[in-house]
Amino acid sequence: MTQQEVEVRNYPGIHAHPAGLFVKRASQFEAEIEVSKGDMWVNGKSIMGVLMLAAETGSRLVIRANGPDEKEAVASLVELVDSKFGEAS
Amino acid sequence: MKARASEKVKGTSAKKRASAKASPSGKTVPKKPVAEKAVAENPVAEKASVEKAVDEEAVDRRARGEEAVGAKAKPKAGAEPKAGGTDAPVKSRRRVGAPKELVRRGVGVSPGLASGLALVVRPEILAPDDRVISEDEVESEVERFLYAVRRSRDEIAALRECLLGEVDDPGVRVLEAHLLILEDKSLLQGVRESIENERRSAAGALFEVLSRYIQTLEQASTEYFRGRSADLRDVQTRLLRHLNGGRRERTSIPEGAIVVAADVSPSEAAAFDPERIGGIVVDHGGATSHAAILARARGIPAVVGLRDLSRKVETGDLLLVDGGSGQVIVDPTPETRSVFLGKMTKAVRVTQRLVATAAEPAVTEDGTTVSVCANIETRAELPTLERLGCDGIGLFRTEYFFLERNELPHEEEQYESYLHVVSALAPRPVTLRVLDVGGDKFAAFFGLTRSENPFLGVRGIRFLLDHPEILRTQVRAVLRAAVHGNVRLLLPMISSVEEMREVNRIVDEEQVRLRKQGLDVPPVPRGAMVETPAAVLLLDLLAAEADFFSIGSNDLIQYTLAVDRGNENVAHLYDPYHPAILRALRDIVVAADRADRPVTCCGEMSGDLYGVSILLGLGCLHLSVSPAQLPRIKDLVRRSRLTDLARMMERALEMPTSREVKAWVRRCVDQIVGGDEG
Repeated sequence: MTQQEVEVRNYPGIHAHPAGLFVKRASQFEAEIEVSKGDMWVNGKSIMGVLMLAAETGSRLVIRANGPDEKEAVASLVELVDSKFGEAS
Repeated sequence: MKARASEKVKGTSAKKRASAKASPSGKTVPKKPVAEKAVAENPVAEKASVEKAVDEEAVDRRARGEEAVGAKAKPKAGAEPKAGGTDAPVKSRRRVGAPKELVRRGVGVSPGLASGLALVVRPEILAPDDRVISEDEVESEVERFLYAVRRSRDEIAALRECLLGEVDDPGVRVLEAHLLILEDKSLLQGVRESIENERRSAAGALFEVLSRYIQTLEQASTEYFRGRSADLRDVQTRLLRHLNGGRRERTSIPEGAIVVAADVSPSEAAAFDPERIGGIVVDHGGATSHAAILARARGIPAVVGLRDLSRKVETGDLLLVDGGSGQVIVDPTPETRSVFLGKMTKAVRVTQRLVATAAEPAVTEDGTTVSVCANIETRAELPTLERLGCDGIGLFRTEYFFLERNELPHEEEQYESYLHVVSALAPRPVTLRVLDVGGDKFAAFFGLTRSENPFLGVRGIRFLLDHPEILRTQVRAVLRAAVHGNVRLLLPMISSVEEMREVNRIVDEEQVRLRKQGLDVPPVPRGAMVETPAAVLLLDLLAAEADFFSIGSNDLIQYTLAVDRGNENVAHLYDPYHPAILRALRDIVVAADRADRPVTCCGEMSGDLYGVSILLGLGCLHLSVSPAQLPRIKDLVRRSRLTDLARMMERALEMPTSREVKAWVRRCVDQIVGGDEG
């Protein structure tokens, strides 16, 4: 299992559109992916799950993956969050 | 007119009786609102007959909730109706021992006075039937749910298709997120289980499940992020709509209620029925927001920019609304109310005088005839026009025809609708403007969130030239309708000669095609909306391609002054008296005159006393206004002297600041025309 913490930097946070980008990116990987904010863990491939984190700017997420491509998955998702979702939100 | 007036009186008393026994469903609530709406400068308020307005007692009774008002209408989720009375004793329930009224001032955007009970509209207006289903129904309800999901997905995908040409369009991004939500396994599974295990109906289950998500999200969020559940609500609403047979659910609005909302989307505003709504009071938005424009068009008194008022008011509170001054009073004291009702009574008298002369032509005191046409959105407005009289339709907006369907209408449907208006008005001209989506309208039409800078994006003719099949369909429908009357074709947001040429080519082709099919299509004049500084500067060149011009003063002011309408932070910079605007208007009229092309002004300016005076003074003798304003504008024209107004404008054009222009124009006009109330 691979996991890494990342801070949400886009404003105002992970609402529908960034959540969609996250889920799409996550779904490209075979590994199981989970995300948490605080003690709430959700399925990283479900937009409803990611939305429910209500991850606002400044909140910290932990992304963890389990599977053959887990390292790439975590790196890729951390990069996405870190890049403020390509500033597209 | 007389016969009608007496009908009205009869209708009024019959209504009183009917009110007393309105059914719980609210269906038999009388047709006309009680005297609570007196649209001072807005003659359509004939609907509020004098007799009723004078009958303060009736108003009082009504205000105390003794007549069937909103309290009896079926509540929708979030509308929280309070049973029974809403008089002072009740309101003191909230503000115990403090019978103090709350006075707020916003921006008055649709003149008129209204007194009525508040209906606070929250965004979630769809309430599902939440019945328990039998075992036999489980399968069909699941099937129904899945069908609604498929329909919603198709719908969103189709909308997305329309937008895919846009580079990185925020609308596309939102739609893609919505598609993902509709494909989310945990969501679909959750609803399915709720139907199977809890025996909820499809609508009940999906409402329940999505509401749970929404609640979770809102509880977890701070103030700002909370608004982000809007996407889930949007999806929820769409799904419920499909379960309801695909029709947009309309909020049931108690007779004469004052609608109070944080925000009103253009499509919601489009659905506002002046027969039912006494007034509109909105937290956000500016004078030219769509809600404001629609309220004005329908003759519904409205105030916007009230910040958080919708959170201070509860359904059933008594409200006094002055759509002119922008004042809103919640829970007024008896003294305040009696002063207000006195004002309403007087306003109705003025209104009656205006309506009585509405059908006569508008000739200035010095003998020039000014054509006063109407701006309409749907054919439903025709009866009002018949009553008020107009010289034609100066602007038939076709967006709402598209909006109401939530999909692109077929040529036949469009043709039928245009034909109806065209033949009703013949031989008077009907100016049909082709679909003008974009800016704020774009967002509503496609159910999208606003893009960063929609007004500088794909809108008006740009959208249509990107989607020529939509334009061609509409042009064919317009050309076919032209066979039966006097039709002009108007093109929105023209900013180059090429655009006009391209449209001309398309119209020519369609015309040839229809003629080949044996249809005797007459030549249809094509006109350009003058809304951008580019169009003003190019007017002499555009005149070679366009047969007429139409000034869209709202957008022209917005684009010329670089002020986003509806943005409350800059709304005060939106200024028809700005010297740049006066010059633009002068240049338009002069250039069009030189090229012998008629110019109509169909924007907000032509619906305002001072705006009309400016336009007439500059030589723009064709006005097009909302139906509700027809009588008042005609009255103004009749009291005007063109020579005086022309002299006034000569001087105004020399003034360097809008403050000077404004003071000067107001002073002159008040002298020349003698004020608005007559």
